[in-house]
Amino acid sequence: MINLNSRIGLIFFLAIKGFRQHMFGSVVGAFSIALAGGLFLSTLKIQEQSQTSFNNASGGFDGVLGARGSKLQLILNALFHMDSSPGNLSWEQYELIKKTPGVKEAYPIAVGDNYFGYRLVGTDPELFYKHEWKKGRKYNLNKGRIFSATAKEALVGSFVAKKLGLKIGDRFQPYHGLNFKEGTQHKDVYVVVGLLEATGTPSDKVIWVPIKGIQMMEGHDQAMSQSVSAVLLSLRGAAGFSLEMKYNKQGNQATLAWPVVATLASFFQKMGWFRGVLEVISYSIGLIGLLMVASTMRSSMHERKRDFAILRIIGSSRAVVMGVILGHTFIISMIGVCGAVLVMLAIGVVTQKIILEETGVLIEIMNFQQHDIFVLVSIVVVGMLGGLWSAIHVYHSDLAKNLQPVS
Amino acid sequence: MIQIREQSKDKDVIKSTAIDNTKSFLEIKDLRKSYPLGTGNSHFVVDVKNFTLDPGSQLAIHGPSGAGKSTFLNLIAGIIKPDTGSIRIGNLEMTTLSEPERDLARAQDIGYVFQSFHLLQGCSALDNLLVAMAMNGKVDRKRARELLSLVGIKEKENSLPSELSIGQQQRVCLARALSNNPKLMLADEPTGNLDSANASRSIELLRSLCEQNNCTLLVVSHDEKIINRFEKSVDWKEISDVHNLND
Repeated sequence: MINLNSRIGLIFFLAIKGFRQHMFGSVVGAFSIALAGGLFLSTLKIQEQSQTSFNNASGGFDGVLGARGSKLQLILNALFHMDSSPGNLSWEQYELIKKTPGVKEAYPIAVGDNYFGYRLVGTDPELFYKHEWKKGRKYNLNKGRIFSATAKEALVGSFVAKKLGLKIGDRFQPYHGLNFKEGTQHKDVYVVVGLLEATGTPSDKVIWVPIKGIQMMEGHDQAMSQSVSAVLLSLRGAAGFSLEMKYNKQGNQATLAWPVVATLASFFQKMGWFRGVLEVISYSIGLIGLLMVASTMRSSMHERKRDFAILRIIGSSRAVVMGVILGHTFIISMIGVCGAVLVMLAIGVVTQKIILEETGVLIEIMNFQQHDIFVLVSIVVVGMLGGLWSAIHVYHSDLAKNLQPVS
Repeated sequence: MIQIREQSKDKDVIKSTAIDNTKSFLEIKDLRKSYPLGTGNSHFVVDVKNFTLDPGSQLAIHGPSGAGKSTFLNLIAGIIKPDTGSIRIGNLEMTTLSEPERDLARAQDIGYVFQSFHLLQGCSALDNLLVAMAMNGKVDRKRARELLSLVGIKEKENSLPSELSIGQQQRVCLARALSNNPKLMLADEPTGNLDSANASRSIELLRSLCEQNNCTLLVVSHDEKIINRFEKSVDWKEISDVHNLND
């Protein structure tokens, strides 16, 4: 039971009673805050997290060596398994870079086939034994084993396994090309021998097979058997500088996309105008949200002005009336803020799913940062300022007038 | 000068140190209140030269609606400030008090019964009394229940005002006005929303409760039937005449 003899207790009691009495207005107020706050937060978060997640989704590789062409296309094709391959490299070039001092790891990949739209990527099984896709994190198997370099076996990424319902022992015939097209099925039959655990990177959206499998696939050009689509690289020290000089500035046969993060950053930079537009939209939503919060609070408190006048005539002090208004606005704001977090998570989950399906990149939506807390606190403060505005108005307005029933 | 006096039946029961029984309990002098008109002039609604009430007395003021009676009560209660004049309640000079002091005086010493009851709609009958008591810092659930019992609606203590009949709401309003043992009870058209039978019952209840609680009662009404139930009554025109001021 609330102690009404204490001023705080009385304020709290009246604030709760007021909230219950004006339940509809209060809930609508809280809902408006939740919607405005949630939209603002989710726009900011998606914008920020998509860039961060893309930068972190490079699978632990520092660079990609591929055919002469666009660095971004190379990265998108080799690491994000999007876009088309700019061309092939010879097997010798792969052997050469593998032996180059400063190259810690080099894994060839070959692409060109799919299974119901999901890419088959041919590579060396060593990738799954040795490579860390994230610092300290090697690929883990959910079930089965890693494919043999010389058998028609497949290791399925978690997302594909879930989407296509592939299990250990399942057999399938790949389709030709990077996009699914009926009637282009190869005769080769692959058997699923392993299912990978999720990594939240584009590798989850891939069916991994031995590189020889892609190179020698029935129906492929003979030249392909001696070429690779790209080489994924982990480098030591400053090897990247000398390799960039060798391939990009002095050579003319291959392109080194290095460093991956910088190439992606330059892509995001080029898309700066789009980010700018998003920022304008999010800040506009934020501004509208703030105005909405202030106005909602003002209307909620306006509804209660008769109650406040009644409190005044039965002897309520200025502090108590102020306290009740602020208490009521605080309750609405806090419910609104909790709602805003839920709206943000709901939008985040939907967006996360869409981005994951499209790119295989898992964006983080749960990591609250200082500025998110700042936004939430600001919502409460603005809400209470809206209430304060009403409190001042109520206190200075004509008591007799405020006693008239609100129609 | 209009001066109405009536002796309390038992002056000894008035125990408040704020009241000097040798003096009148309520004393009003040269009280004026006006409202600005759009033309730049003012419209006077109250002009009381001299008005006094003894402790424990009961008086009814009658007059037509819109004549300024409610404003007069609001001035006494310190809800609005006068243009000029003084209002002394016991030893308190209301016109020199700050707003928080007037709020406190209202919470401690003045009970107010309104025509529209002005109950907190989100609070039950009991809560309405408890909140009024809380303004005085003396919440007493037992006494609140006793008061509701006294006005005959104890079984409705958990009902919201919207769940009560007009008569029951009026009783809650009355119980609330008495909840802090006020020394002065003001009643503005207290039976205005009641039918004739309920109005008679209600005014008798108000009078007897004030008598039991040694509370000075000042009622304003335009209803002759109500006025006739009081031993002492006075025409508002005899207290306040604003004709000369507004001419």
